[in-house]
Amino acid sequence: MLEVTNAEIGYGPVTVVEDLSISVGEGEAVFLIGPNGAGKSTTLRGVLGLNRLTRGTVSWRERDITRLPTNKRAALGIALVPEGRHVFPQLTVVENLEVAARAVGAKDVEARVEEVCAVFPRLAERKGQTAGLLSGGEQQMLAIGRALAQRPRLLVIDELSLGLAPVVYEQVGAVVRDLARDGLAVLLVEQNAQLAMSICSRGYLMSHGEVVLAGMVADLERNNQMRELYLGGIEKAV
Amino acid sequence: METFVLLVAGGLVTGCIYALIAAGYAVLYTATGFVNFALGAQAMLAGYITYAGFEDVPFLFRAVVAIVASVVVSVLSWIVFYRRVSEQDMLAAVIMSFGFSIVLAEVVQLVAGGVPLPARSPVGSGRHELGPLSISSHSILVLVVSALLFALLATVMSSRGGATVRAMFQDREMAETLGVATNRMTIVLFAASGVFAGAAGILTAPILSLSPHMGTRLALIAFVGAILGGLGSIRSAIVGAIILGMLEAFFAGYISPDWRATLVFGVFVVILVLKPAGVLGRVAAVKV
Repeated sequence: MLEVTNAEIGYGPVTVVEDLSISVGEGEAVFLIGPNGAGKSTTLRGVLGLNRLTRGTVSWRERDITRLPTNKRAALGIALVPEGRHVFPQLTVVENLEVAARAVGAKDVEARVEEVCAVFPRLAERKGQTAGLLSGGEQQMLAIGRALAQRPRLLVIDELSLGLAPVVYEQVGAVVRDLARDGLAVLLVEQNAQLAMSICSRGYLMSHGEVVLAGMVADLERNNQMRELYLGGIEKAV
Repeated sequence: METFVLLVAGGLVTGCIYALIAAGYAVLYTATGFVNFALGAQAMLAGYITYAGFEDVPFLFRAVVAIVASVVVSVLSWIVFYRRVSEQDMLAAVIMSFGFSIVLAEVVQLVAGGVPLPARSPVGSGRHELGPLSISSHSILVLVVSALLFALLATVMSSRGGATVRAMFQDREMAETLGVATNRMTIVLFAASGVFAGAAGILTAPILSLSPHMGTRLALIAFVGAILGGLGSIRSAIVGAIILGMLEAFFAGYISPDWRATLVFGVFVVILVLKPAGVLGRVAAVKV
């Protein structure tokens, strides 16, 4: 469904991602993991069109969207949950959801708001509240809810657990896991490998702007490099 | 007491005119981070189109043409030069708008001459006695038209479509990612600022008479007003500009009209030192 092929992405003269190829199939949940500065967020920015590819292509369901402006990608069904949530702080919870639904031309805005509230009952309780006053976990729920209000085909999540307490990210993670099981495609950037592997079926390990390892979760779990870096090297030492 | 009431009314009238320009500044600034100093010159242009010649054409028609001209200048200047320059260097774009306003003034001076021209208010020169207050018909027109425009702006901003505009003000990149056509919306906002500037020019000319450089003064004072209230919010910028109009009137009435400009720019310096976000503004909370 989503294919990034031989992509080179950067910021102005600085190249962060070199010759990167990843893909996400229909209904598939895939993670990107790697140290800070590996180019994970930059890759996502390339997928969304926020940073232009200087080489390579992004295609979506067999269509080349490398040059498609960012605001046209949402309508294709690509929705972003950005790092740092980026909810609209002075809009209410409902307004945040409505703006997202209307931005993709939805006619059934109210039904979509109710749909999101069914997924996140906490948001239903805080409908009229200004988003800037929500807790970090609630803002993350709103950021995911806002993406869901667009009824996407692919949910792109940049740092699901960052800055959240374990109880909270477990809760949010469970929701994403259910969405993925129900067939929503997910591209997840996540520091917490356990969480990423519990949600996704396949993953890429990135380092210095390149994919250094790729495979199914079951294989990655057995891989030494993965275990050492992300799955508790200590455990192995014991 | 009588003087006080007169000064309040007079201050409110000039304040409303400043506020029309200030609203334009705030709309554009919140959307793009750009301050369009040419709004004053657009007001001047609208004033000339409305009052200098074409006496046989109905007033309303001249006013509409004037506002359309201001809108066209607003939108084209953004698309043709400010947008490109502001992407590279915001300060350069802001200075450029200053330069552009001087160009507009010089062109008008070449066409219409540098001598100030009188402008006749469409509602005549009558006065009304309201208790202790004697107010001109034109002042009432200024108050009514500005109130209508501000009410219209408030209604649009609080509507459903307005929520999308506010979302863009708060986080442009996120709005873009969600699918909002932020470029197109910015053009609409430039058009709106053009309507407000055009109205300000049409309303101010009968008070100050027409001169090619009237816009420069208007642009600067309105900017100080917007800064006084807070440039980051449309409401604060409007309120700040009205407060500045009042301060100016009180200063002129009770102290000395000669020191007006000193007051205005004194306020500017004090605000920038003490409260750069404006007396009504708040510093945007940083979300982690």
